[in-house]
Amino acid sequence: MSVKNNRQSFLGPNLDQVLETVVIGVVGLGGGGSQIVQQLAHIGFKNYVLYDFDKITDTNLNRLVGATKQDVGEELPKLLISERLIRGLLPDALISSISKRWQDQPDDLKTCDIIFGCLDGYQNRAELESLTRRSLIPYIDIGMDVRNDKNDIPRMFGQVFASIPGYPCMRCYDFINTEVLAKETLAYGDAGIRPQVVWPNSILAGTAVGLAMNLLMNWTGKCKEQIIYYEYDGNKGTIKPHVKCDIPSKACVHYKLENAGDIVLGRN
Amino acid sequence: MMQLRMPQSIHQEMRSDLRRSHPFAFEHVGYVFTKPAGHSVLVVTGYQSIPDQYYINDNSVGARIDHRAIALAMKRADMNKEGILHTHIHNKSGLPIFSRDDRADHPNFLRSFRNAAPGKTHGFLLLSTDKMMARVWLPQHESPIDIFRYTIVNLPLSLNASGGFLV
Repeated sequence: MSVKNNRQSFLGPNLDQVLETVVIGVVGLGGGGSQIVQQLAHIGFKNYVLYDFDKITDTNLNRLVGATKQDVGEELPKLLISERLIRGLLPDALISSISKRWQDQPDDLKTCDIIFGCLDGYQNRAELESLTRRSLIPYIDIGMDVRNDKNDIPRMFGQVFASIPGYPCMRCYDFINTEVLAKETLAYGDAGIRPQVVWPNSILAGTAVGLAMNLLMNWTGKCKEQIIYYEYDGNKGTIKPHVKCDIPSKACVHYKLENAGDIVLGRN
Repeated sequence: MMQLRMPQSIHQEMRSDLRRSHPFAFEHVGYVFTKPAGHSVLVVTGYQSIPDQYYINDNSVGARIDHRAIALAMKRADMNKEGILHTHIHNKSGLPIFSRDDRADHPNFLRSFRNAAPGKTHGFLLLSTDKMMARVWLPQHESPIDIFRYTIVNLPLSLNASGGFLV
């Protein structure tokens, strides 16, 4: 174990090799993704595949970790801000930065060992989960929202969901279903301003990275009992296993193993 | 660098099947089926055990199988558009190495596999008691590629790179 990792040596004797070898994908480098990248870089992960096609604006500064006022003036791509953040800690990191929608260049994503998704909307999540299931890659999703309740009080909530091949998916837990997808389709083009603040993203990103570390290192010795669905209540300030985790899990019926691999049209 | 991803359920099924004893053969063989995920990843989609009666009694090798056993794999590969990896286990720990007998059998198997599914990647998966490696031929390629990087997908994730470590 290298000296620089002595404070995190409890994670396991293979930590150095894991940090050198594991390839991490992060899709979406806004409020959530920038925090995930920051934490992964501090831990010492060396290999990244990053996707984002957006440039920073003034409205991002209140939550995009690593961004500066000067970046806004230069209209810097969010990709470059994350890359700078990683290289500031790990100058020799291998980073594939892809300034496209992941759907337009998915093959790089398929080389990853774990993928973090920090996306808006259910359709986006459903599509990314489908790719990761077909490619047998664990996918960890984070997201948050704020909506007013019946008394017009803002209610902040969010989730961390780990979609692991062989275990229940987002549809199994009803996080994604036809109703939410249909509602989103109807509201297409009318998304409005999505509420986002820095501190819940920090909690969600930290939980997601912690989950990934247990998945890779099994440092708790109880990874088989790992909670894969957390719910965040920003008003109470709590994050806990989602109530649906109490339901005994069954084999996923939505993503069958025989359907894994790339979709091929026609005979070859 | 090519890599292989296999669900733990298949990994477990494969190892327990290959460890079975046979009435006369010294070892069991089986088939692993794969599909590509992008350009450099093969995902394992299934395992096929070979019935004991499809083995030929031949003391000169660990196991010899008849045409019915090969037809099993060819039929599935053709139907599901999958690649085939012939697999067996060497009862030693560490990174396994194909024996001279193993390598001598490769061309015949490969020809059959390519006849069944010409556009797919085929080859051989060799297990030791704790590791594995694969030798595969991409479609229309005559030189093989050795795969040392593999992941057993489960909680926790089990990764192996260059035969170097197992998480």
